[in-house]
Amino acid sequence: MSSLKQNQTLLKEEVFENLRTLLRNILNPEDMESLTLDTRLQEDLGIKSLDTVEMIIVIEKAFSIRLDSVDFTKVSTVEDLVNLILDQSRNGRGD
Amino acid sequence: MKLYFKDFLLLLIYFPYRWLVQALPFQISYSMATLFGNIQYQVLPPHQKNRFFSHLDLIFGDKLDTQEKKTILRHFYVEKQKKIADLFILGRKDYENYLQTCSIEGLDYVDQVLSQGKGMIGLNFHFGFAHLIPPFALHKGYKKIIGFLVLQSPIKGVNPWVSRRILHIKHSIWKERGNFQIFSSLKSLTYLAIAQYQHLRQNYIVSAAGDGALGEKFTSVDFFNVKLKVPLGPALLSAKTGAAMVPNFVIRRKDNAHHIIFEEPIQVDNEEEETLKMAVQRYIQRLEHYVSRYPAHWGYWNRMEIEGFEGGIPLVRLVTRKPFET
Repeated sequence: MSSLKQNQTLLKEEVFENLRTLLRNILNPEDMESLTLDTRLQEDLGIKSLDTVEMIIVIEKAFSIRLDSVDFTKVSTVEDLVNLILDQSRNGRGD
Repeated sequence: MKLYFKDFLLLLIYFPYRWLVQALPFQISYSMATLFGNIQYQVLPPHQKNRFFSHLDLIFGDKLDTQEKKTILRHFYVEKQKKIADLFILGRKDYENYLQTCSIEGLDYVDQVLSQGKGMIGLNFHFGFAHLIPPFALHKGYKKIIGFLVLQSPIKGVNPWVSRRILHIKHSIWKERGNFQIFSSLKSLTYLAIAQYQHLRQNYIVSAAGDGALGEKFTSVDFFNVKLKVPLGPALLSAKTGAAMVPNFVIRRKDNAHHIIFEEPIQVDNEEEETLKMAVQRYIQRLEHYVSRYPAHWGYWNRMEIEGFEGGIPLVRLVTRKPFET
């Protein structure tokens, strides 16, 4: 997973699959089976505010990036989240 | 007609009164606030007084006689007016003189927690002039501090133009003096949590309300004669980030200056229900201690309701002024 930072051409599908694995530990595993790029985080998965914090902690660690609360205001679906991870990885916004 | 009266009153408070507070010596401002608080107490409709007294009975049992209840009610409104004066004093150019009059205890706990590098959850309560902590900490040289406020937007039952003017004044004072971030919509609860986390990882002191009426996950803990329903948010944030919670209380002294108390840190090691509940019970016990000593300082006396019963004991829910547009 840490190779993501070096390999900036990582495909959206690969990030999506990694994300699905990560979210399985935080959210209901059954929801992960039906997870698609169109799945809405709050409405479909019922993600609460502190679940979001945990999700960010896990994503930042796994992808070696930093997510900003301002960027996160644009995130509504899984696809938005995947795009944000890809953007941050390309921009090299990690520590 | 009633609405026009509220608009007029708010304009009166936020313009001529604010200007007076900004120009007059501090103690004269507090004398005016005391006068306004007493007037508010005198003109309070009987049903509101009775509701207040019934809440005192609910929490304290039959310990208080009628005169004591009246005294608490009057002090409650005087304290409310004094907090408005405090806000306007903070907006003054010489506000540092006001901060210098504050006394403090338990600052070592803050240094101890910050030395761990995981940030600190400054756990405040709807008790006294709680929002004083960020401006005071900045004044003391703690540059990495951020306050979070959830404000009603627009102010309920007020002309939109008046509402915008009032909120602009409040926002600018809080942002300028206390580095506050202000939230006002339902979705903001998520952004608030993210912002808290992001500042904690930079070893900031972030504020969180221990007795908030808003939240997504709640627990019930012992509080005087009732079970109090309070949010799990701060304890969960502590468990997820490793940042300790430091309960803090702001008490008004007889000379109207404030005494700030930082209590022993509370660290939450895991997210098990029992662990979280114990942590919440620990800081609500501290709240109980201060409410028993300074009952008029607690801001919820007119905003609580019985939600049900737990083992025959009333389960009390704290009620928000509904700041969110759902």
